[in-house]
Amino acid sequence: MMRYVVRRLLQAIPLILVISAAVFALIQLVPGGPMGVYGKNPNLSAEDLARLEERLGLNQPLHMQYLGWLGKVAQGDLGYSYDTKRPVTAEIADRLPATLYLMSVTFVVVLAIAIPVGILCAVKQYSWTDNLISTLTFAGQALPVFWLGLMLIMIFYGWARNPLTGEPLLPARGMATLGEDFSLGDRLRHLILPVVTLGLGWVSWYSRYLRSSMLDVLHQGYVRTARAKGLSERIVLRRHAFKNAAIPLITVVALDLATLVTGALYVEIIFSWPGMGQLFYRAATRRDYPVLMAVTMLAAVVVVLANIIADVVYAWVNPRIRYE
Amino acid sequence: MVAAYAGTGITGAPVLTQTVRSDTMLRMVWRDFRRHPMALVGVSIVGIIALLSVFAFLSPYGPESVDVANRFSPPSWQHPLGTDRSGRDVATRLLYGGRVSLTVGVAAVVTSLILGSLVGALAGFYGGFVDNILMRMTDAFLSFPSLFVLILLSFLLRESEIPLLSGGVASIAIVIGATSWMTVARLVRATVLSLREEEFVAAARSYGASDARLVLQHIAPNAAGPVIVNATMGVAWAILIESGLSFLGFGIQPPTPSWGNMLTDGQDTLSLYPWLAIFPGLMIFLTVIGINYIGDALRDALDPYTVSGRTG
Repeated sequence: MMRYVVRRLLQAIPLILVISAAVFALIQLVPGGPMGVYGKNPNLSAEDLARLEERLGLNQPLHMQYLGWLGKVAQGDLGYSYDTKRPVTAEIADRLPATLYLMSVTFVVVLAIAIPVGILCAVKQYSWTDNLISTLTFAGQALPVFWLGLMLIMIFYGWARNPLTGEPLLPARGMATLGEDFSLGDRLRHLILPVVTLGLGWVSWYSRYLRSSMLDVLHQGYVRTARAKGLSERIVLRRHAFKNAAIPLITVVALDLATLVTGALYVEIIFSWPGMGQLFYRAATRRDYPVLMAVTMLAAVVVVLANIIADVVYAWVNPRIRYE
Repeated sequence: MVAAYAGTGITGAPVLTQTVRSDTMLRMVWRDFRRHPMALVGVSIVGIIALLSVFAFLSPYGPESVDVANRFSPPSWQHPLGTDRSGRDVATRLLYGGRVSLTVGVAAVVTSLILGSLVGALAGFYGGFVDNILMRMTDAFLSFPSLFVLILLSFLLRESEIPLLSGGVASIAIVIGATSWMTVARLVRATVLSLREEEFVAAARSYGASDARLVLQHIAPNAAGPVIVNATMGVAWAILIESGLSFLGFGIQPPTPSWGNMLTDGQDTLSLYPWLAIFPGLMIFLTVIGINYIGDALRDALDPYTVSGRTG
């Protein structure tokens, strides 16, 4: 197993190099290249531009620029944000905790709901509970996240009022009320709308997935054997059926782990959540290329790692799979 | 053959010639499709939205005609879905936006089908080195965080001054197609790989069929089932992506209406003028769920393992 993990990690290196070259090339495609943003500034003379170009190393041939950039990235130097003039690493360090916080809470909530719901639907296949939940989950998969977020804000922040204070029922911006001391209740209230917005689609997707893999398993002989032995339905479901039915779900969840770092773009923007998605969005609207490149690269590396984790976990939980 | 009669409602012994005709692949698929409980719902939703969008020009209002006297008027008989901040009729704009969304959805899927089938067929048919390179490339594309790359690409296209490609329907469709062909490539490759050594392929080769003909005429059509299902769901996905990009300001640019950028207009006045935010999102939701229902029904109808004539 160790050898397999090491081999997968080694194989990931060329993949990441290819991705880095592609990201670098993309940035060069912008008309005027990375200098385009300065070229439009009337306060800069031609000499200023040339000097800036030299200082940023942009007068060198492309492949040298790429290698130079790669070398710096390998040393943990992601350059400086055009927008804030701060190191990109500092920008990311500021944003990452907020994203990790939102996404990990969402993951826990989503799994805590999706797993029981998926099992319930499989056990009671074609009952009215199952049909109702199936309809809801089908709708949940089709709901645009950005619209759902706006509708929840409209209802719970715009219309619904707290009967005691007359304030909006739920906050719709940021992680906590500004200028107030830390309070758990306030933090939790700020989490509700983003987590629901983000989680609804995920719960729908995961529970449908688990339902179908549970159905596959429940029709297999060993489950009938377990029942025939006189085991309680509880034990059969938990020990025999769920353990095997969870294997495909684990893979899907492991792949989605990448979002712990990359964040949720729409939700972070709609709810002014100061995370990675918002950092990327701001960089894209302000042509902050170093930040754009860094976040895209980081996201790509995380997705590659999540793929490896998914495969390794799959092999680990499923003894029938042997990678040698 | 006898089993195929089950549930068709044919009583008595049918005439042989009729059975042969009634059991073509397409007919069988159509019969299963029709029986799917949600197929009709999906077809109706998508059909109505598509028809209304095509005939959007029949509306008494233009998509960009401003009426300052009637800014922000709530839904009424004159304006069934209200007007926006320039007094433009929301319903009319939604229908013109529907043209954009449906066109982008279909065009994006066509792009991804062309790219994906090409990559998949080449990789599967030639195998070895070609296969290795193409599939590693597919892996690389799958590893791109898709929303980030989509934003990056559409941002770059918008900035570029290439005619036809900067910031319009075509650029969004190409961007979405260029980042979503990987599943098609894998499906086609798997089919081609598993069939290229079959006898019917050897037979075709023996009478002198070219490589292109072998793949296009004999092998690739076998991947049609899963590819069609994937493509249907792909239209829904592309519409979601397009409206999301437009919502963020990286897709269709105003004043051209699209469901996404209309939603952006509505987000600042959510509780005052809710109709500006409710209806564009509802259109996206209905279209996506309609297409998903069609895709779901097609999946069941095209799956050879689902018994034909099943109930429910």
